[in-house]
Amino acid sequence: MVKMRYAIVSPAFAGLFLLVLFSSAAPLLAGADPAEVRMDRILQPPASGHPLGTDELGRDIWSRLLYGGRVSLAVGFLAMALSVLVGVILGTVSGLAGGFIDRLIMRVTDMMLSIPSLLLMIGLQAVSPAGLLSVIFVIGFTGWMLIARVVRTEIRAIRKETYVLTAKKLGAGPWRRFISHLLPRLMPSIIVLAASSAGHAILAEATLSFLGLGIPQTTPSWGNMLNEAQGYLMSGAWWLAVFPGLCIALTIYFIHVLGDRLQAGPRRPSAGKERNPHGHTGV
Amino acid sequence: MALFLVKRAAESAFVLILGSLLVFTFIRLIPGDPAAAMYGDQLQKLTEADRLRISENLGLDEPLPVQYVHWASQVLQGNWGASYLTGEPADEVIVRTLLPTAVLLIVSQVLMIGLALLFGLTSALRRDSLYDRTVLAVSVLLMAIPPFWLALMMMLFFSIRLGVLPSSGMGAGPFSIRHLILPALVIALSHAGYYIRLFRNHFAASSSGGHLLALRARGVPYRRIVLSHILPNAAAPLIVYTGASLAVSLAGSVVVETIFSWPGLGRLALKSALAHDYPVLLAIVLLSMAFVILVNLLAGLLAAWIDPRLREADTEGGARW
Repeated sequence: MVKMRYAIVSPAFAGLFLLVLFSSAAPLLAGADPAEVRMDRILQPPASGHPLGTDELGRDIWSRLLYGGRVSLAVGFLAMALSVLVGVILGTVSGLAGGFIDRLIMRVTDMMLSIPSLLLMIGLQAVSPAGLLSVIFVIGFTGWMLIARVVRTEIRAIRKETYVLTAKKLGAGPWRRFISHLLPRLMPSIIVLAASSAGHAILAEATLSFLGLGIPQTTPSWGNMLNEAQGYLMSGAWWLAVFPGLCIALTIYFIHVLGDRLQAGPRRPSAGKERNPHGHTGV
Repeated sequence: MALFLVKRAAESAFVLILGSLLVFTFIRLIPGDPAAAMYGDQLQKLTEADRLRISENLGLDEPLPVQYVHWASQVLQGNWGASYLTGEPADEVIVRTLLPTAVLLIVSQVLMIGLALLFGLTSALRRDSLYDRTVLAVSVLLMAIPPFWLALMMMLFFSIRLGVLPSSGMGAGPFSIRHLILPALVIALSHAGYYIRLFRNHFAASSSGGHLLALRARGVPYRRIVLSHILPNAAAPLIVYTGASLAVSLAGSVVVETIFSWPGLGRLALKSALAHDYPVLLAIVLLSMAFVILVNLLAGLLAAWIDPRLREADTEGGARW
């Protein structure tokens, strides 16, 4: 609880909250239609009318950032939720079942970690239909492995504790034992893992969209804006690339700081906490 | 050690087989049937009998397990299928990209691990100092910056504003240092943050403890404590992490090679994905997976050879450390 409060009362949480607030309130704050093409004002540097400038089709970058944030944050959040769901289910099954099922699930986890994550994602994206939904599924289904491992380890540590065995003797069914006796113990780890998973998902969406394999180009997202910006870098139109990138970096930065606070609590960042060698899948 | 070796090797082989099953499923997931993918619109013009004959030749009428065995034996013999784009055998297309990618990966990996060792060790030895906090803060910042954006910003600054470094290609020959600087730096920097923190935490753990205090009290020089007690104690896990970081750099090469037009494996992977050139794409996925599994196996064995405690440890999945 202390850790939770320590995390929520922090500049990082405030920053993240503002980013979400601004994106949610996009129609109120945008000032211009993010899709309005105006050929008479293309590639204008930041100035009073357009605080962050305009892009190659004369669209207002500030408005596109706000609307793009909605897409990027929503995709990141949903993909994270999917990863957490799959990770918790597989980790729990693996930890409780033991034996062959446990070993099989863990080897599948190893296997998924052995394919460089971005290669796996572009491979999956290449065979799935284009669209928002498949981006969410692909990112979600390639991000559960670390969560499954941690949940499995924790389940194995607590499944034989007296209170769990007592609950069983008193007639609590497997669902009840899981929901009211195991899950609460897992929650602190799940929250920390969910935070880092959200950061990973937002980065993955941006990367896929940047590479042209993510969200359809017609929808503004931070990654898509950077994809378009790439072609105008050489002509010196820096504002196309700088602002969406800053948004992504800030979001992920806040999430990381929040995750650290959730994990460590208000103590000094001292001696080593063990980490999984695959904790960083990278994109 | 021998038993440990056999156990780990068997585990890796099993993971590889699972992975090949996944790749095989990929092939079946490809929209449309493989015959259509191979013949394109031509297939519409063929008669029903011809189509049946084609799918028989491709083995598509066999049950799935038989198809898998057939496919796997082809793969083991090096028959990866022909590229849909150029018609060349996929392995030839891939082999051409291996040298540029190897050069890029080795240089960036050395840079990244070098940074992680340097800053991880120095900041662990000055725990909780201003220096330590600064290093940690910068590491988090590096972790937050998307690699592709870092690449764009470096290009904007060094190639376009200052004009001092080339922004694309690899120049003449495989070792043009000027062309290598930006791509290698981007891969190294974008993952260095995570590894600096990780290495720092391990060094922090191995640099605290009564035995070190006892050594200092006995008058052992500080430098010797660091070199022969702190470093070796952290060596085994760091070797494992270094092995695992290879998959990360390999993933990073997709983005970086694409942005800097580096003619390597990562750029080929993206090109194949965008063009739906499945034989090449799947071969790349399979190859990089096999490579990563092999490197992780070697790193694990090396670590166990250095630190005998690891051989007795539970080798099951997440409980390894």
